[in-house]
Amino acid sequence: MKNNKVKSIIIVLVLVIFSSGILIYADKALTPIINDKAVSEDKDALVALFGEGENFIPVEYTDESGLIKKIYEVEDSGYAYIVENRGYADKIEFSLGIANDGEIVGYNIIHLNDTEGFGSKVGDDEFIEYVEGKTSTSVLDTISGATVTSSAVINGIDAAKAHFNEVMGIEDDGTGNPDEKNDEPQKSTIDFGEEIKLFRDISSEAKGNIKDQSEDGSIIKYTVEIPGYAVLESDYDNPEPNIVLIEIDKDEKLIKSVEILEIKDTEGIGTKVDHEDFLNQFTDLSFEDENASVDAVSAATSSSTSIVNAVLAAIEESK
Amino acid sequence: MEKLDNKTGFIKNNPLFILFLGLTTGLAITTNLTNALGMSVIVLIVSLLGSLLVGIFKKFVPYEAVLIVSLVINVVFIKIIGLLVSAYMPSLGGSLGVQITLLTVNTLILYSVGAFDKKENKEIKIKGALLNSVFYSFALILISLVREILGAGTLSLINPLSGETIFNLSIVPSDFVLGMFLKPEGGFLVVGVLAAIFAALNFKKDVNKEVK
Repeated sequence: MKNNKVKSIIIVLVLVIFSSGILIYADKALTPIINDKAVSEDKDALVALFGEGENFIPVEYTDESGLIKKIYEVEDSGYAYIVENRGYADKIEFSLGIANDGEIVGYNIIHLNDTEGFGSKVGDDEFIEYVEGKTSTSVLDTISGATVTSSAVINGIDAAKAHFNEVMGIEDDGTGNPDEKNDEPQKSTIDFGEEIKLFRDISSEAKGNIKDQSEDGSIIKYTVEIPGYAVLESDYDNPEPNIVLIEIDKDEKLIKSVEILEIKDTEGIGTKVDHEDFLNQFTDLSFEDENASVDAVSAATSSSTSIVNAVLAAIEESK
Repeated sequence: MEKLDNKTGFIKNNPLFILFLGLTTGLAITTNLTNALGMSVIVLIVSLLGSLLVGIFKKFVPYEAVLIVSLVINVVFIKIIGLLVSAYMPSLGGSLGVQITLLTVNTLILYSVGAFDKKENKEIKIKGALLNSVFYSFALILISLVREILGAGTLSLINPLSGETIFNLSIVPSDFVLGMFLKPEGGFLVVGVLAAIFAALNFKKDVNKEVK
């Protein structure tokens, strides 16, 4: 028996080594042919994007996403990308051409094997027309009913866009609006609305909850959880309260500062309360005065009120 | 396992529908006729060459190592054929994709080359490999006919070497097409139903035999 085992092992080893030799040779012999086929396939895709007579120069690149297979600089015209990602059932490979002005001039499917009528839509004229004409900073939406496939394609397109923007020095803030600069929307001014008095009756459901407090002499910092528009008035799924950090000087009866840690109200409306012009109203506001008040942010009364209620909770707690 | 020793046929003991050999491939690539035919040819070539080589090896390899040896020989042939397909028939290689590589553990090929034979059986099974592959191809083509007609409404054959379409028949109008048949669920359904039909046909044959 032992003899048999040794014999088996030796035979298998010899066979494996011999086979590896054959396979390495076959690989060496055939891979160039496979590659040539692929390059000539690429040539067709590149010409389809930018036309004949263009000079296609392969480009060295670092691509974090790992989705870009090849990048060609099209002399004086733009960049061509061969992108590959995993789709629903099989890999998806497509070519993307971005012209020097940032416009996506071409989008062609090279390989697509996803479900007919669903994932296959990324190869349909409708989607092609949707993609072509977008720019390197546009945001693309997935196709409903073909989420996996279209996300794969859009992630690939995003990877190509990222490389293009990096090379061209274009900032992409992800809003899809190439005109907006992505610096400090806070610098914009806000309009003020009605006056909110600090001391008034509020319902128990609108009251703030002190989550945390820390004392440093007469200065107390309160972290207050306060139901805002989202919780009290909207019909959002899973609304959450806002969280505010309030600094109070107990002895001087002054509000030192109000900082919004989390604002869960409506984006672009309620969130406007997180603005220094609104919050600065609270700085050094004395709450000895029963008539102390601040002005709400116009069109964001509920959210503004919630911040005031949070301050009120802190004041009550400090007494 | 006794059935593995009996003779296989197109309907009687069909390797895919009765013995359930090579089921993965049967479910995965039978979405259209071109794929099924391409895969059938590949299976045939690998089985023939494999059976020759494994038959030779079985004469001096101890019984315990036969399966491993068969697998290694399988791998070599499949890898070479895979490279050839990618090089000269890229469209077929593209649509079959990883399934060609998965043929290494295709039970039909292993069965045809004699990896599962009993210890005493040391003959070279070339004829057996040929016949089994043909019966398997019959099954693959049958499944793909059903799936392509019901799932895509068309029946088409594309020449893998040149890419031109040999024929393209439109059978079911596109409004009545059920895309499900091209997806895995459809594959399971079709194979299951066909297997049931084949089982019934086999049962009838067995019953007839007994009566005689």
